[in-house]
Amino acid sequence: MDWTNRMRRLFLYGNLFFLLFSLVTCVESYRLKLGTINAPGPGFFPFGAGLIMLILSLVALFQSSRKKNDVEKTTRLEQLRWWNIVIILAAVIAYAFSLEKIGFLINTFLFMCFLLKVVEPQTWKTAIIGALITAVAANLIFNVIFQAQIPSGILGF
Amino acid sequence: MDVLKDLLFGFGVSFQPMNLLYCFFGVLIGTLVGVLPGVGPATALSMLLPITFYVPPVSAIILLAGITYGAMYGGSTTSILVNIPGEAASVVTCLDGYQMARKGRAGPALGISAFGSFIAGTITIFFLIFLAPTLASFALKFGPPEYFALMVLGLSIMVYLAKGSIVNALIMVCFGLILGTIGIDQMTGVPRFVYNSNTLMDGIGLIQVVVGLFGVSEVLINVETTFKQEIFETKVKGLLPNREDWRRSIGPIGRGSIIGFFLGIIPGMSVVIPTFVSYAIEKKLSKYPEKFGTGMIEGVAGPESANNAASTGCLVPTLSLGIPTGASTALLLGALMIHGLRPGPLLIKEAPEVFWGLVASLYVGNVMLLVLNLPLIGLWVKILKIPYHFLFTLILLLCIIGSYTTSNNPYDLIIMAIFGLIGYLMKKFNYEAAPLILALVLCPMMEKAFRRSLMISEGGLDIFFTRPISASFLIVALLILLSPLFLKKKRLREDLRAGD
Repeated sequence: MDWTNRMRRLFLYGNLFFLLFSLVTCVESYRLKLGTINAPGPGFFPFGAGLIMLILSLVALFQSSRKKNDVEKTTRLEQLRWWNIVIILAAVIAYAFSLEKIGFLINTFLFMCFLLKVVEPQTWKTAIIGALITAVAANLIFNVIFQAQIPSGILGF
Repeated sequence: MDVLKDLLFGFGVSFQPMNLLYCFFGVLIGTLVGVLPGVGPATALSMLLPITFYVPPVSAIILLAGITYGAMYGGSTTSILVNIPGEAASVVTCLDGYQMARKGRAGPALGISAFGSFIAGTITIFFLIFLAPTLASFALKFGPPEYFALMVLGLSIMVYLAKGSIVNALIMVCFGLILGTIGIDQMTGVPRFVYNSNTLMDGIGLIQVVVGLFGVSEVLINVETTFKQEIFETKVKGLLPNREDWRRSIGPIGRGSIIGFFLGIIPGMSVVIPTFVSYAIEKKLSKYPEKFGTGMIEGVAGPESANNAASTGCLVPTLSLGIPTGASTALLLGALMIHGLRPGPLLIKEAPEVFWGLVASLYVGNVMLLVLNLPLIGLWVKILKIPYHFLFTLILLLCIIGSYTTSNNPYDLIIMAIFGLIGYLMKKFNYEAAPLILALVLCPMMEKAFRRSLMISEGGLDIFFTRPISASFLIVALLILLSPLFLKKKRLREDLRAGD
């Protein structure tokens, strides 16, 4: 499959996503009860927004099936290091789940160390020193000075 | 005179040592984020908003406002010296500012943008003082239909000015409105789209969305390409513009201030568009329009004054009507609400120390920026040299801390990550985030106004069209949205973007 077709298909998926999203919104808002026009219920407003979005995404779908020019402008996916995005998002999610167990200081150290080592690989020395300084400084600024009460976890301070 | 008394009271507030300190930190952090490409004032505000939970409301708002206008100064520094706009509002400054620097006139370019910003800041504070209270007392006459119509108008302007197709921008508005309804319905107490999740019960946080869409997504975009920074060494000498520079700049500064302020008032305009308008006007008025882009000082002075003026203008609807003009002002309002203040026409009366303290601090902050910034230019350039692999990890960490500390809920980080991915995809597919954010922010107010209007009218949608103020807002909104169909397609909008 050539490049333009591939991009067009991606744009199609984007539009289909919004179409689906608005459909689900309409159905779910309907279940929330729309109320009447002089006493609008909780589902009234999201239903309206969903309905307008549905119409708009149909228009967008129709437009994208006709014109081709917007497609070429986007950057080529092949040349991009998309795995970095997966790594970073995974790291953030892992950070979220481990924060309350391990605590801010160690968690931040591990997070920084991992990113410095993996995304744009540094030497171990740079990664560890960089991560250590950041973790200690962040803990000092946010937990000590601003009293933000981010969990300190197993270290207890 | 009452105004003078109020203003003196404001200066009293802003000269308290702690507030001076917060103002200083605000403008310093603002300049820093202005210098750093990829971190805009909105991201910085959302990262730092949680910190302000622990300080009095006036200090919080002084700090946060300092970030927004400090960023305008910082953005111009990098535009001029290294041709990298740190801020969308400084993109135009690159055109002539960088050319001036290449001709060895970096000093006067930096000088005139700092003085221009200062003059614009000072003039527009007076506009703000007189306009905001007047508008607030006028807005007391507004009922729910007028508020609803005004918000529709703001969203329409934002849609009209967005990149890409109008249909896509409208889809973003609907997306934002739907996201805004997640959580407990204010009027009936019914949970909506919550699906037994405690995190969603309070709704999707503005901070997580802004940090995700602007901060995280920018990092994701940057790490997928090999990021190379090239910093050119420019010697900066003689920051003071000479008499000839002043003669050529004073007109653009004055016009830039007025254009920036009045465009900034319109919700949806933000600080970016006024800079393009100012540049276009200066080019039209100039005797040598063909020389623009080769280092004309007018092309620096006008837009740089305009963006500062616009950031003051944005405060008019924010403080007098409680209606934000974009992500930054929405976060300012968010900070006010966290501190238990009610944004709206009564704010100036109910919390005079916040309004007048903020106004006076704008002036103090502008003086600080002028005095501090020029000597610190060397430092800002050094910061640009920090390798991106350190920078992005730091930005991510600040995003995480900002998102987490709003309610100490780790699931907020998941929401942030999801919006980071959404923001990344939106950038790839040419959808703009700004309409989504504004819609998300306005959603609760809009829904309330809409439902109240229907209750008042007992079921007739005609209430929006029979009341003159709301009818005129809605008609203008409709004309704006439909104009591309009648006029030559997208002309004006593209022109504004191109600054031509």
